[in-house]
Amino acid sequence: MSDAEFDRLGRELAAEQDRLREGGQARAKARAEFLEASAPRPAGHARWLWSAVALGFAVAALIAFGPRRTPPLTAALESTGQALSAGAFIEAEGQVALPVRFSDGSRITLSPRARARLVELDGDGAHLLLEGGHAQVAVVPRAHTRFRISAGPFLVRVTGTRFGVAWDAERDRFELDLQKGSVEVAGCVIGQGYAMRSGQRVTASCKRKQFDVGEAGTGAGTRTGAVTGTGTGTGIGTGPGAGTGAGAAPGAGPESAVEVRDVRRVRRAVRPAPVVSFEDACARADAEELTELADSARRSGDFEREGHALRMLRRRFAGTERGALAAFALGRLEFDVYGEHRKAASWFATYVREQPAGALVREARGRLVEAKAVLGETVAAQRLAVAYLRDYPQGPHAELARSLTGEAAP
Amino acid sequence: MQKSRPAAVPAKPFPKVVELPLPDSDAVLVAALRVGRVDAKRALFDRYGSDVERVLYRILGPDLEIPDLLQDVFLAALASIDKLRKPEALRAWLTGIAVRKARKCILKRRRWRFIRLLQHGESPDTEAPAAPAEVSEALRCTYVVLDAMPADERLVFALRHIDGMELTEVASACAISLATVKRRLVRAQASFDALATQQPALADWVRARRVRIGAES
Repeated sequence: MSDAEFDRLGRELAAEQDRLREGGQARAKARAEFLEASAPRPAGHARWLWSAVALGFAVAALIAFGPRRTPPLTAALESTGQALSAGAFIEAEGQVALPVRFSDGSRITLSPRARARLVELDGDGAHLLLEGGHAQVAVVPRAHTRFRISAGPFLVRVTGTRFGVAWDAERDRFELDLQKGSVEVAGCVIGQGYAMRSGQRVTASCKRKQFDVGEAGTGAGTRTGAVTGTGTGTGIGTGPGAGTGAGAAPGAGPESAVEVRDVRRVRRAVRPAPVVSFEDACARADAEELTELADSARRSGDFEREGHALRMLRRRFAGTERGALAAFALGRLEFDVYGEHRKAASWFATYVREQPAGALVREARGRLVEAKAVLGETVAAQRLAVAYLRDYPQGPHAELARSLTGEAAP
Repeated sequence: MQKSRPAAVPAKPFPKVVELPLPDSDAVLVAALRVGRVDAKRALFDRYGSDVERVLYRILGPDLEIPDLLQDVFLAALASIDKLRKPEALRAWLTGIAVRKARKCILKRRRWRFIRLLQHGESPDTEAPAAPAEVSEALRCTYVVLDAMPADERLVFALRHIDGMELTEVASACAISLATVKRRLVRAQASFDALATQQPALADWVRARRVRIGAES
């Protein structure tokens, strides 16, 4: 989009926001609460109250920071002894790894070109943010050890282990090889937390909604149970690489990785599950799951499966909102992918008919104008364009509509 | 003989202090705030509440936390009014506070989206509340896209293209240089273009240009 087009979209959004603001109560509510919160308090009451608050803080500080509290760990670059404080940024330049030693004996080694930030140091451990690259982590187990490694949107909680962790922001890929001990990993597709055991490797991606568990150090793609989940625990394979237990196909690459359809169900689903075909999965799925299956197929470029899931949605759930959305999505599929403009027009018209006040009715009507124009049905296209401009004079298809009606821009 | 009661003496009116209304000048308003004049706080909100709310809306979208953030901005302004070096720049100063508060809100939500439930099993209530049902799909999708962008790119995009600020105003609001604004805006536009294609209600905005180009060729 050009600057002018961004501005045009922005003006439309701003106008809608201003209508919402004027009709809402946000400002009045904030005003009342601001005036109450900033009103002066009676002096005597304030003195008594603040004295009590101060005393409370003093007691809490004594408990929290009294002589029994363990002093925070210290950290330093192993090569030079340079001390690192919380907030320090560390980058392993060139071809040399950069080890960081902690005062409890733990060590985190940044591989060449890795970048990290030491977020926090406390008595139980440290929090390191791995901004990119690979780090080898060796944490000394103690009674209250608590090291945390953040890598992109993922968090590794460490209690005494040795592992390698990597984060690639450009590819949105998280990887952890656990050599010894135990860690818990959490973040987006992984959900609340997945406890890894020694010898496992986890790779994950938020954008691709992907979460794989395999054997560490045995090459990419070996799976011991990469699954997705439904409420019933049925796993779904999208390629030959998906497998169960020891029967996993070795050497299957990332392209055969199973896609997580519902990130809220990952924890129940992370166990070996029987493979079913995509068609069977569609046949058993409810409307929400069919929508997710269609979305997953589209994201992976499998338009045939996308169409299958959408048509199943139409067959079983026509008359519902999801069924109507499937009609819109089928319209886009026929128009954008297959160039079947007549079928596309029919689907867009279906959506408009079934959801005259639906969330995508403006888009569907605009697409219908476009489809009719491409088909050469000029009279129909002009009629639809006039109606479109009446209702959406600043819509995304307004310029196309004006080109059909000869109407000048406002 | 009946004694007549003395006629009632009308009470003398007690003198009372009447504060004159605050003039429109921001310098006077700031001075009144600094001395703690009660009506000055009301005047501050009444004069700039709409502007601050507008900025928060542009950055966050129709967000149910806006009333709380709006209050926070004015409380922060009151707390630091003595640090305002140019009272005549009160509006821009308030805008800067609003941008910082919004940015902090975005970053906090991102952190807790990924870290929740690891802090002793507690799940802080910092998820972005769902947008009201009456917003259009395009508006909702725009903020889905903006949510996926880095916070600093989102800020310059929202202030420039949705609020319509000039680039110099964006720089002032975000406390960054003009060069940095331009750099972030280019990245933000590229991110928006790429992410918008995944949103049905926005994809057509991106497509519409390509359709026109195709028609012209």
